[in-house]
Amino acid sequence: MKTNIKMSKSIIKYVVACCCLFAWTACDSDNDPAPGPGQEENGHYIMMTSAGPFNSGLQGGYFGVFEELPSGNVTNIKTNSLQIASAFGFRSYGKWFFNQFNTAGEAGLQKYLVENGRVEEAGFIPNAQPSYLIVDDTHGFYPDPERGLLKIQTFNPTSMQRTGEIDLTSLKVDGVEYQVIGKHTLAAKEGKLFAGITYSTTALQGYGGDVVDYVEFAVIDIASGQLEKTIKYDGLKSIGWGSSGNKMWTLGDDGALYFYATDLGNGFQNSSIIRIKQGETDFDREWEIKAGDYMERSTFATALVKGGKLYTQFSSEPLAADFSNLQAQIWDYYAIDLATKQRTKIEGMPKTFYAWGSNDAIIELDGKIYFWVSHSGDNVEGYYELTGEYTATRTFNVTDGGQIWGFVKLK
Amino acid sequence: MDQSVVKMSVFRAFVSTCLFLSSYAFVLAFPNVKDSVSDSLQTFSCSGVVYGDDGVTLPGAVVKVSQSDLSTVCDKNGYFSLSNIDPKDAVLIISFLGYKEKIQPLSFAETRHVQLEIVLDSDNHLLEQIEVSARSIERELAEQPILIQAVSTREVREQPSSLVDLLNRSAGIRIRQTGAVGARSNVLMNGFQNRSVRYFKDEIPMDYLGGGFDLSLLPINMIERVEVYKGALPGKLGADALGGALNFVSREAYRKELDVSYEIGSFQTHRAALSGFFKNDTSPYFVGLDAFYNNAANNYPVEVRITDQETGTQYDDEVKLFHNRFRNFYTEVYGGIANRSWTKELRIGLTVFQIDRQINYGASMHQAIGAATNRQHSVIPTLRYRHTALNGRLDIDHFMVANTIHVQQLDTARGQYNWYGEFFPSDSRLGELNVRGSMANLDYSYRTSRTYLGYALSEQHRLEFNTVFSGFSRVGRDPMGPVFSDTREDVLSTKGVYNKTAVSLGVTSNFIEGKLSNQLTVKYYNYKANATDADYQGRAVHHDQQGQDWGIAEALKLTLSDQSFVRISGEVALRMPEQDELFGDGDRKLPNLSLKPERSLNLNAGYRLNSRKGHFFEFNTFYRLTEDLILLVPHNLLFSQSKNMEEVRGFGIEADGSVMLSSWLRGGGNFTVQELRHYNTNAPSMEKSRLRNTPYFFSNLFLQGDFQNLLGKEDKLQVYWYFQFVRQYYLDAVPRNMEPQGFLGLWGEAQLDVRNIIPDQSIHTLGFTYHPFGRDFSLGMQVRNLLDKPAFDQFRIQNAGRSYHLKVLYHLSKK
Repeated sequence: MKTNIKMSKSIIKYVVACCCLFAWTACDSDNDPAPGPGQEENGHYIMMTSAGPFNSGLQGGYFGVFEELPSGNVTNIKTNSLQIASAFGFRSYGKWFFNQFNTAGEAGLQKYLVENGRVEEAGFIPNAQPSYLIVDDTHGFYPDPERGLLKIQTFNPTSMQRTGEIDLTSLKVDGVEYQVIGKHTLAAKEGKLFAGITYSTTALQGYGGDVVDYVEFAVIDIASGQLEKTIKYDGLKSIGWGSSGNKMWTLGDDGALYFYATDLGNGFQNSSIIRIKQGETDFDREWEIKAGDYMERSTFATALVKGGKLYTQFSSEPLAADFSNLQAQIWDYYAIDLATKQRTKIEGMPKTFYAWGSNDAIIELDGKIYFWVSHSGDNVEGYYELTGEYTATRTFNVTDGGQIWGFVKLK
Repeated sequence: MDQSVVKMSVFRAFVSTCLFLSSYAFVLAFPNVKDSVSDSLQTFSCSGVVYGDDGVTLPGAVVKVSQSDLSTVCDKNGYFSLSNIDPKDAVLIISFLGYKEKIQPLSFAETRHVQLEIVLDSDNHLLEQIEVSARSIERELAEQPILIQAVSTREVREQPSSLVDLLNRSAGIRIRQTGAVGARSNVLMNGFQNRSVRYFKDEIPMDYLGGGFDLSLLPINMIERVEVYKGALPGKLGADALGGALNFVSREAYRKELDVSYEIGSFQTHRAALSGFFKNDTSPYFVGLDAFYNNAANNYPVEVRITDQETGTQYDDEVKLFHNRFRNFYTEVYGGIANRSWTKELRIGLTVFQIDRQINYGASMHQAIGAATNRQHSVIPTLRYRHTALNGRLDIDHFMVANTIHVQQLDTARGQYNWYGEFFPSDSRLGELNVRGSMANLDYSYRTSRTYLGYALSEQHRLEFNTVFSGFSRVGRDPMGPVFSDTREDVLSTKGVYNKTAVSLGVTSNFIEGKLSNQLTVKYYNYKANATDADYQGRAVHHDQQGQDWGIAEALKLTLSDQSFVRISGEVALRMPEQDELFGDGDRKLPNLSLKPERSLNLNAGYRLNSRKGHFFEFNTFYRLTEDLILLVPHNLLFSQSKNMEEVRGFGIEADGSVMLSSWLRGGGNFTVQELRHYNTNAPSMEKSRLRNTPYFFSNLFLQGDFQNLLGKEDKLQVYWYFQFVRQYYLDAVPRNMEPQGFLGLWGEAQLDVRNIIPDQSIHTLGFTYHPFGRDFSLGMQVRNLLDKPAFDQFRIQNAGRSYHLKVLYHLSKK
């Protein structure tokens, strides 16, 4: 019994870790609205790989450090690589990078930096959930369910100390079994913090079981820490899935925040991307991209918005409600024109894995766009660069056998 | 469907019982066999047990009827029986090396069957002058073709040690605990652990005893020995063990005796044990009691990380565990009849146990748990029938048990504790171990029937047949647990059933005047299971599954001289999937009905040398090829699932020896090296990497001095020192090309930055045992972890540092 409970607890933590990574991209070095610390230095590239393929039974993974953009066949297991107990996506900010588990595998927010070519630990806040957000060098937010489901904790990313909390208990709705704020989404732009509100059941703890037919965000003024209003978008169940390094939103080069509704908990019937435009604090109800308009029962888990295009993944076959083909290598990358919503496949890459817990399935490095491709049959585990408008070519390939769960350039 | 399973269970139990009855009927049906039961009633016979004057039975003692050709040799329990005795002036002559010969007249004036308890006086003069070649049961076992390490408690029963300590001093075994008294223990043997290793009590699979008879709980003086089977399993141990087994052998008494012990130790540890046996000399009836009680606060200091509630930052501190108390009692009352013409022993037992456990940490010590508890209890009736018939050629052993273990899991704290014991309420969780909390009450029902038949085909060949039926079911309720979405019915309220049968048939043969011994055993396994669980949407899903498979074991021993032998054994072993692996847990663990049994080819070879001067040396090596290991792996974004994943190959070496350094000082040691590696991982970097979280080198040293007549005429003092070393190992697998360099990786560090390490551990234990007034009373004192070094087990769960233990033992027996 004890073992089962421990196992259930660890599985829940794992699932939480798995899904939440999507819910957050503000920490991306290429997407951050504010410059990170130490940007004058040459950046290191950090790659997270797992010890083995996703369902291999091998546990743990590695943070590898690269001085230059890798090319050709490379290994991520080097003398200066750090072995970590859990590898399911991570994010970066400036010269720091963050994992949702510490090196030993305890859940929380672990800050790392590179010193003398080695990965060093630089602070840990236990219980911080994967939807954490870093706004600038001294301001960050994270949910900590132990301190309250309707509270957002504030912290200083430089000192990695908690500095207080934003109490949103005024938003409590009576009669809802399980209500939580910020579990799946914490995003920021133009001085406002957007925190997703989830209405679910005790049994599912916010992972599915949504009891309302709309998504709702609390809008908070970052400077004052005051709740300004809540905003709703009808017709969708939830935004994000706070359990992995994938934060499941992105800040486009047009200044708009793009949010992914995965519909993971409802059989992939209604997955969409919606947005809050630059200068706005409410949803753009005139614009929505529905996965079902392109492929029956697919889902959005990754995106990058640049130059009027939204780059994302689509499955090449309908997804099963029991998730049985979710992890199959059936995914292709596409570019969708933001204005016409016409999608075009990016050629030159084999079919790949679901973006899953990686926040970096599609990244921009030094102005270039790269796609993570994982196809075991073709021995492909690496990144492809978008070299034409709709064509990509291989940049590097990792030969260790594990999967890449994130790749960033520190500033 | 449940009904059909129940019917099948009843049918199997019926068949098993019929088998037992038919075997007995077989005995009765042999009218022509000399000394059959019916004949024996018309002739004169005797039976009994032969002891030494120290109360130990004497297997191998010769019992001869004077002035006749009738004679026999005592079995492993010191038991003998003789029939067709001429009643006129009948006299027994009993002899055993190292003891004075005894002459015992027999009187058949009032009975046709005489029962005896014969005590031989040791012949110290003889012992000093001759080389004692009599062999203990432990040595008998150690010299079987199958590799058996018999760990005797006889030498250490007065010490305040646990079985965990005792086994950890043995070559090739590591017992890992998650904590102190009452903590779950996990045997690691030849790289196998968890479900791959099976446990038996007196040759019966002891699943029915739940946590009541755990290694860490048993008083060392309550059992005779632990038989450790590292390679092939003999047919008499009927279970699907992939990689070995432990058989706990109870102390058997044949005359009046009382054994009482009490131990007090650090961290509010109290351990008491009481064993009693009563049998009148003239009566075949006997009664006995085995009971023990453990109570420990387990509040030893640990180094943990403390979280500052205000800033969220962490710092290291030493705190005492505060919610780690463990209490249990175990009582077995038994009685029966022995040494009748129709039975060697018919024994009825009633066992009651209860466990109360506080939970202070989970799978790691990252987070304190301050309120969750676990309780279990059971009342267990047992029946055992043993008989030797057909003039000693047929052995029958039948055992039956049916019981239910009631388990209660309480996890209702709506918040979390820190390591200082401070509580912080939270609206996010209903429990500490699980955010949903738990008020689970579960009933685990067991029915076990085991029948063993051994028949001596001739002096050279013996046939053995064993069948074990194990029926298991689980049903319960948890008001805080998952429910079916349509009926709102508790998922745990639907019964899960798992029935398993293990049958073996083997033959043991001796050739070349006993110098070449062979054991060949064929095994058959069958299981059937059904259960209902809920899918992610909460809908009920019913599962049925059954399977069967075969195994074979072969063992060969060649005696090189009267002091040395070599042996080799091999087994194609398997472990059937368990119910939760097949059917999931009704929550986030998915069913997998296509699971195959885990299979392993285990080869063992060894050499043993026993010196005439009391030294011994043993060397064993093994090779293991294990396929289809069942692992719980992530299935997709939400679920995990048990799958046949891994292949593990490798070899191990272990050496063990001891020498008499002087007439009063003995020393010895052992070491174990295990090179077990992953294969077919689908990850080139992890191919051939060592098993994670598994020690690969460990060793022991000991010195033991014995002194007599120090303060009094009959006093005796034993002083001992034990040293254990475990080489550092890694919680996560390290790529082979990044492993520490040097011979067997025994020196150096990993070639990449690895911080999740269980470091080198060097643990010293020092103690003495003093018998001030002869053998009956003893006082034992022990200091464990003398230098207070960090001690870890799985996943850096810290064990206790330096601790002090005092044990008094009083043994009273009829001389």
